Amino acid sequence: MAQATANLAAGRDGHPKRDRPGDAADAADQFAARFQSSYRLFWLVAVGIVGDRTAAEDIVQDAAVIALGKLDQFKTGTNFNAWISQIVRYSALNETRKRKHRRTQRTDPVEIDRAVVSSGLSNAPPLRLTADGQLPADAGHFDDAMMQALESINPVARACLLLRTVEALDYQSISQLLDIPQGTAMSHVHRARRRLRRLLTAPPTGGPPGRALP
Amino acid sequence: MKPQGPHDQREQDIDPLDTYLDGQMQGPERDEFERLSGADTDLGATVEAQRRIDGALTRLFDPPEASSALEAIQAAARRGPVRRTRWWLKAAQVAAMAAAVSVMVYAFWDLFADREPVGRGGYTVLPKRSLIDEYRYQVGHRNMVPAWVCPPRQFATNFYFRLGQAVQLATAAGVEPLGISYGHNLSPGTLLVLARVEGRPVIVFADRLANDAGPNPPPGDDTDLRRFRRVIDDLVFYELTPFDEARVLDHLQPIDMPQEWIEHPLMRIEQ
Repeated sequence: MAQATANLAAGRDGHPKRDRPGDAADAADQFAARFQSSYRLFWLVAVGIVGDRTAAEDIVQDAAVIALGKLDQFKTGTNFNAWISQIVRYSALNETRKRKHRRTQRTDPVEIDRAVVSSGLSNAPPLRLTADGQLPADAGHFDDAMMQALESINPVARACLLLRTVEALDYQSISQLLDIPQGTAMSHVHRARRRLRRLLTAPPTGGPPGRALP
Repeated sequence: MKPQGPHDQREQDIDPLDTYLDGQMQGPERDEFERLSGADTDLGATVEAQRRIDGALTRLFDPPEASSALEAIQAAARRGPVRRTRWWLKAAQVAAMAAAVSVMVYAFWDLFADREPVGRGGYTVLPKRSLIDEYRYQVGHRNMVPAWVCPPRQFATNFYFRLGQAVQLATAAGVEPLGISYGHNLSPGTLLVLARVEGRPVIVFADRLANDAGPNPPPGDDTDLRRFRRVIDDLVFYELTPFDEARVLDHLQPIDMPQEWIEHPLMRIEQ
């Protein structure tokens, strides 16, 4: 843990600095502080991959415990956030695999029906623009449609989109968190936006049919 | 930072709309784009739709507080260093334990098992024994159980293919043929004919005459066994018997190997 303490205290950019020796408690404190400062990013990575808020919380929590146990393996000079994010990604992908496996086992149509209704992924129609091209004021189903549309996006692209949109994170940081090239992160965000617009908007009622917005 | 990948977006490929929606358009370029989007209904609607989507994403995916994760970290820290046993480490431990048990079982078996060593090619390498030691081994350890209880045809065939001369054992009063075994006595290819005569064990050792060169001490004074020798063509036979005369040797007769026995498919394989 002493090595971990020395490895841990991190600067603003996620690079650790050796500023105080300490014991296990110090290491845990420093780890917790550093973890808390980037918690939102880790959660967005998790929810982007697994697509479920509650599961994302559990995944990040588990990742925190795993990372604390492996603190000695954290290399000085490497990016703390990227290191934690890697653990989060692996945990989230494991969870996704488990869920996929569980899903394939549930074949009772009544159960499937119940699961679809409770997940909010019902067959909500796409949002239609008004005659003057505006979004309708009241679109109660929009959130449901949004969740459904997000399901159709690749998990890594979804994580890119959320990190960029919710946290306004720069592409270099997204690239480090998800271990992908910066250009790929940007491409994922733009394509995901286009896809969401295509799925969530439709030509105004009575207007020329078939032209989706770019 | 990762190098550029196949899905990367180059600057010249980026749509101005994406640049604007991404908040990366600045200054006069941005003003011009906003002027255009105000004049173009479709473009304006697209921008507005994206704003609404972004707003919904921000609302739906507002991260929760970190409290639960922090509590988990503190609880883990109180428990001490987390030692997660890796699955491969567990598997390695189980494998090592299984290997150790296997070695011990093999060592125990190797130490105490009454068996014959196996040589190259999987054939049994028989321990070299004198005739009298072989007799004691067959009687004392194997209880006169032959390696092969064979009818006359297989008896003759075995002699033919191993020693080059077919032999048969004629029926005789008081002689109960048991079968054939193999020994490393006169040579590594010695054939043993096991029999009981009036209920007492008698063994005839058969080999090529050319192999009968080594000293073959007669049974000593400490045994009641007698040894008798007979030569038939190129074969030599020794009978070890508790009787004062050979009771089996005289009933072994050379025969001509029938052609159909030699040409039998199984026989060809043996050749």
